Amino acid sequence: MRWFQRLIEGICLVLIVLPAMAAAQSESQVAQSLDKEVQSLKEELISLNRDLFLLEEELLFPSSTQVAVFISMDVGEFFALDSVKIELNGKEVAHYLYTEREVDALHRGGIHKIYLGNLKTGEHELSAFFVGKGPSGRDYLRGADLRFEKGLGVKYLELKIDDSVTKRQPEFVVKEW
Amino acid sequence: MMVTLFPKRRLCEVMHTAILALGISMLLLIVPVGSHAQEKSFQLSAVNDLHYGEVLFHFYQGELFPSLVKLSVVQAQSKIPNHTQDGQLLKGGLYLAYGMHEQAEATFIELLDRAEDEDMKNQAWFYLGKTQFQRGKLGAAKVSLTRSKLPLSDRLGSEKVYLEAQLSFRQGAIVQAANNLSDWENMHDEWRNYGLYNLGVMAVRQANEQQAVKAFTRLVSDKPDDSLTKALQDRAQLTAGLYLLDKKRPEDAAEFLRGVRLNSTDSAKALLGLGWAYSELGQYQRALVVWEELATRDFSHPAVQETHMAIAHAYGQQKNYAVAADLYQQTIEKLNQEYTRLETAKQVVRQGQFSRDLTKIPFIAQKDWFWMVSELPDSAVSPYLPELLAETHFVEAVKNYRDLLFMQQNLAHWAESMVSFNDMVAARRARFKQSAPLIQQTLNRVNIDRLKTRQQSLLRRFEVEKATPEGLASPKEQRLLTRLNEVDQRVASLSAVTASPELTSMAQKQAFLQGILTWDISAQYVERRWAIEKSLKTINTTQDSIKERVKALRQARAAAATTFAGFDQRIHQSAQRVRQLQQQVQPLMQRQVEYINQLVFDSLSLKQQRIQEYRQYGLLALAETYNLAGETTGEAADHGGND
Repeated sequence: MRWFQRLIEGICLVLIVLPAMAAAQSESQVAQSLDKEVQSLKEELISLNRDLFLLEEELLFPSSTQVAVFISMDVGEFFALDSVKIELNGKEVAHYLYTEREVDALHRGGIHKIYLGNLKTGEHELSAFFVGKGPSGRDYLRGADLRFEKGLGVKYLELKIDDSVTKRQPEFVVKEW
Repeated sequence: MMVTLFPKRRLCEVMHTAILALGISMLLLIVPVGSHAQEKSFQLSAVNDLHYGEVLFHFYQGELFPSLVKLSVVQAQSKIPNHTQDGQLLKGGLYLAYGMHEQAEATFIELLDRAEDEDMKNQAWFYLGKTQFQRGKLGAAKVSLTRSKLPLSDRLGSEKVYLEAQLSFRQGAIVQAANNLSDWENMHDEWRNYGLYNLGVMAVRQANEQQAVKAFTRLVSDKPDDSLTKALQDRAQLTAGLYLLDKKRPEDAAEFLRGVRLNSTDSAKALLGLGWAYSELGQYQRALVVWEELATRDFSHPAVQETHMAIAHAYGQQKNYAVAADLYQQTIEKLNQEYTRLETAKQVVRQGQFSRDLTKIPFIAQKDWFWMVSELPDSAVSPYLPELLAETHFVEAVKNYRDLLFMQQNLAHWAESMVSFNDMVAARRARFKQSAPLIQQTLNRVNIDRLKTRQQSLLRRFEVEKATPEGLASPKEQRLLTRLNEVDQRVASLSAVTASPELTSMAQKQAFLQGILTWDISAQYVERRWAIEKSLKTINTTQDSIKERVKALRQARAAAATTFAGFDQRIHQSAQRVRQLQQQVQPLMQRQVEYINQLVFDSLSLKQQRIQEYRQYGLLALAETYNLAGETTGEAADHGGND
C-alpha cells in the first residue's frame, strides 16, 4: 500500500508545492519592484516635506520675530507630568496634555516644542504652569516665570523639569538659548 | 478477504506529515524587525541641541516619518551643530526602520567617509552590516560586521552576535551559526531569548536532539511578565513539542505542548499536537478531550480541520466505527462548507472589497517579530487574515500599501496648503506695500549722526561734572545748595553790620544743613557716577541696536521684491512636485493592491487545495471505516456461525 501513500503525497507535491514555488518566485519579483518604487517615493516625499516645512516656517514664523518654547525633562522621579500651560505677556498661548508615550519620550531625552510663534523685539514675560503628580503621588501645580529680551534673531526658551535630590522635590528651570 | 484501503497507521502518518508541515514555519529563525526594535537598539548620545531633542521626541514615540522629516529640516537649517555625525547615524537608522534600505545603506556609507571618531565609525559599520543583511547582501554584510571591531553597548553587541549567527545560518554554515549563539548566557536580556530560540532551531536542523531540547527547556524555564517573551516561549514549546513528536518521544512532546498558553496564537497547533502525543501513548480518551476542546474553535483554522479528522480517527481506533463514520461524514460536510466559504472570500477579493477593508485592519503595534491585530474588519476574508499576517511578505505588502495611503493623505494636505501659502505671500506683499511709505518716513526720521552728537555732548558734560560730587548732585540738591549759599551770604552780610545771638544761631543752622547736604552728596557720588556711566554705555548699546534695526529694515525693504518673487517661485515649484508625486502614488497604490489581492487569492487557493486534500483523506478514511466495520460484523457473524 506504500504506492498509494506515495501517489497521494506526490499529487499533493505537484498541487501545492510546485505551483506555490513558481508563484512565490514571480510574487517575489513583483514585491521587490514595488518595494523599490515605494522606497523611492518615500525619499521624494521626505524631501518635499522638508522643503515645505522650511517654506511654511519662513512664511509664518520669520526668524526676526520667531520665538519657540520647548519642554524637556531630566530624570523626573519626583514629578509625573500631566500638562503644561504657557502664557506670554499674560496671554495663554499653549496648553498641552501629555500622553504616557510622550512623557516616556521626554524621560528618554526627547524635547517637545510646545509653542512656536512670533514676538516683537523688546522685553517680554513668559509664565509656565506645570501640572502633574508630585512626590508621594500628590497633585502638584508649579509655575515658573522668566522676563526675557527678544532681539532681532530667533528666540528659543527651554523649560526643563529637573530633580532636586537634596530637597527631594522637582525643580523647574527656564533656560534661554 | 476485504482490501484495506487505508491501513490503521496510514491516517496517523499522513496527519503527522501535515502537522510537521504546519510546524515547518516554526523552524525558521525569528528575526526581530521594525521600528520598535530599531528604536530600542539605538545607542544615542546625550542631547546638546534643542532641535536634536525634538527629533528624538518623535523617534522615541515610534513616529518614523515625522522624525525623518524633522531631522532633514533641522539638518538643512544647520540647527544641530553638536550632532552632525550622530544625527546622520540616526538618519540611517530611521531609513532602515522605515523600510528605506537603499537610502539607509547610502547614509551609513557616507557617514563612514566623513566620520573621524572611531566609535562612530564602529557603530556605522555595524548598522551598515545590519542594513546589508536585511537587503540580502550577505557577503557585504559579513565584511561590514567584521569591520565593527570595537566593543559596542551590551544591547548592540548582543544584536551583532545575533546577526552574525543569522548570517552564517543563511549562508548554510549552521554549525558556525550555532557556535555564534553558544555564548547566549552573556547576551543582553532582550536578545538572549531570541538567541536561545534560534539555537534550538539550529540544533533541530542539525538533528542534535539533546542540544535542541536543552535550548528550548532553558528558554521556557523563565517566568516572564511581558507578553513578547511569553509568546516566544509558546513558540519554543510548540517547536520543541512537534519536533519530539516527530522523534517518537510523545511523552516529552506532550510535556512541552502542555506549556503553550490556551490564548496563544500557537495554541491550536499545540492542542492538535498534544492530542497526537496522547494518541501515540495510547491514551485515546485524553487525546479526545484535547481535540474536542480544539474542535469547538473556528473551522477555518487548519489545525481545527485536522482535529475533526483526528477525533473520528480516535473513535475508529477504539473500534467505535459507527461514531467514527458519522464524524468523518460530518467533517467532510464541514470541509465542503469551508471550501464554499473560501470561494466566497476569493470572490470578495476579486471584486475589490478586500482592498477597501485593508485600511480597516487596525494594527495596534508592531512588536518585534509579530503584528498585534486588535480587531479585524467584518469580511469573508477576515477569518483567514491572522494566518496571512504571520507571513512577512504579506505584512510588508500591507505596510507598503499603508505607507502609500499615508503619502496620498500627506500630498493632499500639502496640495491644500499651497492655496494658503499663496494667500500668505499675497497678504504679506499687500501689507508691505501699505507700510512701505511709513517705513520710509521712519527711516527718514531716524538720524543716527544727530543722536551721536547729542551723546558726545552729554559725555563732555559728564567729564566736567564728575570732577566734584556737587557736579553730580540731583537738581533738588542743586537748588538746596544754591539756597544755602544764598542764606550764608545774607547771614554774612548781616553779621558785618550787626551781631546778635539770633544771627549766630542762624549761621550755625546754615552750616549744619550745608554739612548734611554736602555729606549726602559726597556719600552718593560713587554710586551716581557709576549709574551715569552705565546709562551712557546703554546709550551706546541702544544706538548700536537702532543702527542694526535700521540696517535690517533697509535690507528687508531692498530685498522685499526678490523675497516675494522667491516665495512665489518656491510655492509654484512645490505645487508642481506635489502634483507629480500624486500622479505617481495613485498607480503605484493600484499595483500594490493588485499584488496584495494576488497574495490573498493565492493563499485562499492553497487553502482550498488543502481542503480538497483533507476531503480526499476523509473519504478514504470513511471507506476504510466502513470496511473495518464490515469486517468486524463479518467476523462476529462468522464467530456466531461457528458457535
